[in-house]
Amino acid sequence: MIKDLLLEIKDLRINFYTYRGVVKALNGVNLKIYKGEFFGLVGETGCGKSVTASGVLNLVQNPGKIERGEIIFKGRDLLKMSKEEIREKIRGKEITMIMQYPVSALNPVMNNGDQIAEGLIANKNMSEREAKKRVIELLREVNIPEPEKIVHQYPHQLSGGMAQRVMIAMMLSTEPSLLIADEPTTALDVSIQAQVLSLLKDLISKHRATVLLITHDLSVVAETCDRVGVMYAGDMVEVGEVDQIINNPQHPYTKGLINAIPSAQRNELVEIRGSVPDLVNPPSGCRFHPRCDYVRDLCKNEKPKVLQVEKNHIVACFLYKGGYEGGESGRTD
Amino acid sequence: MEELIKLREIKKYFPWKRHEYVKAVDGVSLQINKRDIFGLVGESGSGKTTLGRIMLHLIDSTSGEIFYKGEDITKIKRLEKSMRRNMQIVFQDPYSSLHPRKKIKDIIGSGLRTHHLVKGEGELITKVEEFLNLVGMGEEHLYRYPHELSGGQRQRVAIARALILNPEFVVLDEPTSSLDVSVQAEILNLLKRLREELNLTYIFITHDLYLARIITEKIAIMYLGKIAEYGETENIFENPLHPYTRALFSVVPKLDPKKRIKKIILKGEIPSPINPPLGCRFHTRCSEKIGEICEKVSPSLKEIEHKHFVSCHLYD
Repeated sequence: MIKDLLLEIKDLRINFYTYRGVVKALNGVNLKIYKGEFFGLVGETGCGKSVTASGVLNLVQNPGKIERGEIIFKGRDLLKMSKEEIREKIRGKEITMIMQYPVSALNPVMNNGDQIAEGLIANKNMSEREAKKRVIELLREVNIPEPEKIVHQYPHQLSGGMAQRVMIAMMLSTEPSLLIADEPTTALDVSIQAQVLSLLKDLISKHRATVLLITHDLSVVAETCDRVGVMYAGDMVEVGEVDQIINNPQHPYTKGLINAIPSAQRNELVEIRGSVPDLVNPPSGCRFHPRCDYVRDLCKNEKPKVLQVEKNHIVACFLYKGGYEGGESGRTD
Repeated sequence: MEELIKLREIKKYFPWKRHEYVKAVDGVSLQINKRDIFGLVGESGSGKTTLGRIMLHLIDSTSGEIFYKGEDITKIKRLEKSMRRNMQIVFQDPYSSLHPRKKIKDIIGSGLRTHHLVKGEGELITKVEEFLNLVGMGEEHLYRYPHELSGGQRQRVAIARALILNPEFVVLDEPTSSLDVSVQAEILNLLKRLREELNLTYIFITHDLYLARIITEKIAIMYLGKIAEYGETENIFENPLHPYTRALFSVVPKLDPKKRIKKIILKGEIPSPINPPLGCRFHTRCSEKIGEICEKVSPSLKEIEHKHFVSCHLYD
């Protein structure tokens, strides 16, 4: 089956110019997202997963700067578009985003109904009456009880789960091709998380959208995504199908991450020694080398190239040098 | 096994409006033995944190009794200093629980001064150094400020501060939930090691079931201020009996696809603790409701298996 490429990120490099020095937040990230898939981007704090998303939406703000790279969305490089064009054609229409804290992402002084309707009126050329009708339908679609009442309420009157549903309704209202969900359930309780994730899955298949799910929780990815990319300190270290990453992780960091997650079949947690590096002075070569158990001299000097280890499964690590060649070859530098 | 803390029918109602109360904890009885790692597990609003603080006497309970080594401490208006020393807490967020303008040595050592356990600065430094080493940090951190430390290091400082007074039990209120998983593993392993070395008793408050499974020996699953199920951790995981526990287990995201079971997705959200549902508090979301009895009669905790207590009418 040939899948259609929806978004391709090539060698994206983003720096933040702070008073402490230059934070090299993204160190040349490559990523492909295909139409209709649920792609998970996983990593710990500071690995660059959210920065990648803001790069895609052209929301990198001072002191951040996109140094180089290409973000090809439906055949066009978003980085070559003007700010106005992105705002008018892409952001909020073609690509939308769900945030971690829905209550603070929503406008506190505008009622829920008007907020959702706003996008419809601006982007879909609906009249106010049509939009209001559509809002009720949308809210019903995200399983909000009594939508007629909710539209007149304000975000602070909603619980976290309800606010996230309002957010989802709003982000799906313009029928986007790509939905970026940045830690959509991290602030929610597990029972509510389960509701929201299953809702999101249903809606995405119904609307035929594509999702880029950003999360620190590999278990959430395991349950919802088709493919997953693991990031560490500004690098994409491993990409593969969920099953490959969970059951056959190749990169030492991915292995470490999986061993550190409390799960049903584990009685002890294995630590990853050391700590996440300061990205003002990132380690040379492979950025994971100071914490890696398999470190060799080569790792300290050179950045590993991306290698394909099995079908659809790529890893950036010298352990696999000379391994499976061909297929989706990597460009890291 | 020696009993350390016993709670009897503890209630905590926070005043809300006229004649209205937030019933945060509503009739909890528990027994915690010496050297237990006891887990209080629940979602937000279940009352787990309030209960933890009541055990420390940080907030007074509305009614009920707390026995600490057989003595009812609810009768004491101001806890004696000597008793305070025996009970310590590690908070969830190490970014707000450490004084930003104090040096690490003063943060860890302030308890020593309060309790007059050291004479002079030299002795304090020696003692603080000892505990910094114990939690895996070096003396180079003595004169630093919290903002110079990472989240994991801050939590280590908070642990050192709790342990330096040589307490008998420590309430750990979600000690790792604001940390990344790899750091979480470090902190948990540290806590486990310290329990062995210092003969501690832990009350471990968490919303993460798998975490509870790894560290605790007994758990109480809480829902809306009451205990739904309570017993040895292994028993509860092998054989969850309360419909709420079962639903929770089923929806926790699992890494291994083979371990997945059919999800029981709970309807709606946790009801308000201001006017909690009558009868069984879980009946509004329960998929195994057996009838009117659930809506009218509040079930009591019953021992269904050996040392495995459940409050549900299914087992009447």
